[in-house]
Amino acid sequence: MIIADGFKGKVFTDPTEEELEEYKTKQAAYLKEKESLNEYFSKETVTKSGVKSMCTATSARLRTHRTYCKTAVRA
Amino acid sequence: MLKGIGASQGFGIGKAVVIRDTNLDYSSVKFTDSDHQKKRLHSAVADFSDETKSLVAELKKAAGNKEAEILEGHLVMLEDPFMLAQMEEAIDNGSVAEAAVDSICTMFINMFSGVDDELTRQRASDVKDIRDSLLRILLGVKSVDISSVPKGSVLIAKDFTPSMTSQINRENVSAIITEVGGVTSHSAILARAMGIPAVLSVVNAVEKSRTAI
Repeated sequence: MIIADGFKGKVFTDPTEEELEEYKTKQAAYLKEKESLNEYFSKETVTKSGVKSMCTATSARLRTHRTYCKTAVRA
Repeated sequence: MLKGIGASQGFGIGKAVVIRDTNLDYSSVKFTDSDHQKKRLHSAVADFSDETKSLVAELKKAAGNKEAEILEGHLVMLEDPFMLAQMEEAIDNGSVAEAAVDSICTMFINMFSGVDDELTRQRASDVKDIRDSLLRILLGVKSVDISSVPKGSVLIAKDFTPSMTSQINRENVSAIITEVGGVTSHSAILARAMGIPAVLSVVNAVEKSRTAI
C-alpha cells in the first residue's frame, strides 16, 4: 500500500496503520467536500435578499473561490 | 516518508504500480541504404501521427479540449519541415533512422533544457516524448499499457509523458508519483484536469516504491 498526498507533496511508501487511517479519514473528508462544492459550482451567486454577485478567481485559487461561492449562495 | 511537489490536489491511497522505462536500445540496427532508412522514418512518423491523433481524441474526453492541445502540439512539432529535414540529413550522412531521430530530438531537448524559462524547458519533455514514441515505433517495441492497470492503482514512474498520461483510466488510478516535473509540467496539468492527485519530483520514487508493490 502507498499513500500520495497531493496537497503537501508527501509520499508514504510503507505507511503505518495510523498513517493509513489518518489518510483514509482525510480522503473521505476531501471527497465529501468536493462533492458538496460541486453541488454549488454551477449555481447562480445570489443572497437571500436577491442580491446577485459575481464570483471570480484565478484557477490557482479555485478551491477558495468555490468555498466563497458556496457561502454566498447560502447567505 | 518521501517529499516531493504537490502538483494536483487530493489524496491517493492504493497499490503501487511501477512503470518502468522501455528499452529503446538501437545499437544492433544496421544501416542499409538511405532510401530505406528514410522510408522507415516516414512510416514511423505516419504511425506516430495516427497514434497521437487517437490519443488526442481520448484525452479530449478524459481531460478536455484545452488539455488535448498538449498532444496536438506534438503533431505540430513533428510536422515542422526543419525537424524532419534534419533527420533526413542525418540519414544521408549514414545514420539509421533510429539514430537520426535520437540525435536530432536530443539536440532540441538540450536546446530547450538550457533555457531559464520554466515553460520553455517543458518543451524538452515534449520532444523527449516524441523521440521515445518514434524510437518505440521504429524498434517495434510495444508501449506500456497504462490503461489496463487495476482499480486503486498508484502509478509511479520516472516521468509521465503527455502520451502516457493520456492513456490513464482515471477510474482506476488513485494517484500519480514521478521523479521529475513540477506544477507547470504537462503531467501535472493533465493530472489536475483529470482530477487525479499527483506528487512530482520525488527523488528515487521508483526505487523506493519497489518494496511497496
